[in-house]
Amino acid sequence: MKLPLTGGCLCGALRYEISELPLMTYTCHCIDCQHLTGSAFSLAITVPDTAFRLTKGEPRVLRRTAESGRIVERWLCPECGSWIVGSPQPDATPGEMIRRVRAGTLDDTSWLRPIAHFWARSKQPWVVLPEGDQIFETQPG
Amino acid sequence: MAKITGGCLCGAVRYTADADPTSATVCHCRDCQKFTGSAFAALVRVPSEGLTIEGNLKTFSSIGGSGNPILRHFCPECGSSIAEEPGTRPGVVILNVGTFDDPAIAKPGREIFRGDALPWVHVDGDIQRFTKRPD
Repeated sequence: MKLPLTGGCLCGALRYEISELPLMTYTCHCIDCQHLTGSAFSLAITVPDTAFRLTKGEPRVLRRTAESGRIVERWLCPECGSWIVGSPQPDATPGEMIRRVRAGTLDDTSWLRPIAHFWARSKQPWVVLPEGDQIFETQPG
Repeated sequence: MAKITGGCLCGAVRYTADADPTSATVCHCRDCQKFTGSAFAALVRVPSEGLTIEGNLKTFSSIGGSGNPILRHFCPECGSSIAEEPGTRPGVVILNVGTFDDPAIAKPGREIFRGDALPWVHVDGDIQRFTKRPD
């Protein structure tokens, strides 16, 4: 993994850079994430908001109340539909803001290794999570 | 053949299809990672005859991981990745399993582009696994 991390949507209309190491890598198996990705789960890294910079394009912003009750804003590419990142949100540390970047949109995904898996109660049965990882039935508060 | 119903996250797009959801394909290619934003795409092939889509889709055309042209359809309202049409297979539409009303009806029968897979991703079952696409 080399900083800055770079990534973007499938068609290249949106590009971004991340200047600091991710705080965490996780998967989310909630039904919303399955619907949006069309896949079995979403895969994300959290990064300090100050470390994230959109370098190209103008995203479409989708606002929605998540299964957890939180209001989330998702940034999508209007051209190819790729979901790349969310709007800044408060971190567990007061005063800090983080962003959740959709890790599949990174240019290099090979180093990604999640340590936590959320909403495992709606996980697809054929997805086998690595032994020893933190697995949450829903989402810790 | 089973009836599949599904749609996007916001409900603007709905579909029904006739398909066997027990032979799903998990595709790890980089394009599928980018389009889904996730680790892989989970896909079920259906005949376009018998597929009914309500609502407007937006389409992005590109060269797929196989090197062949592919149309990728998504909901312009919420961005959900809904379906693909490979240029090499007229009459076939590929649905993204996560948009099924009940994604649990799908069971993977094979993995493709395993060479691009994130090493910790493990798909259960005695299934076919291909480093790239099947010959």
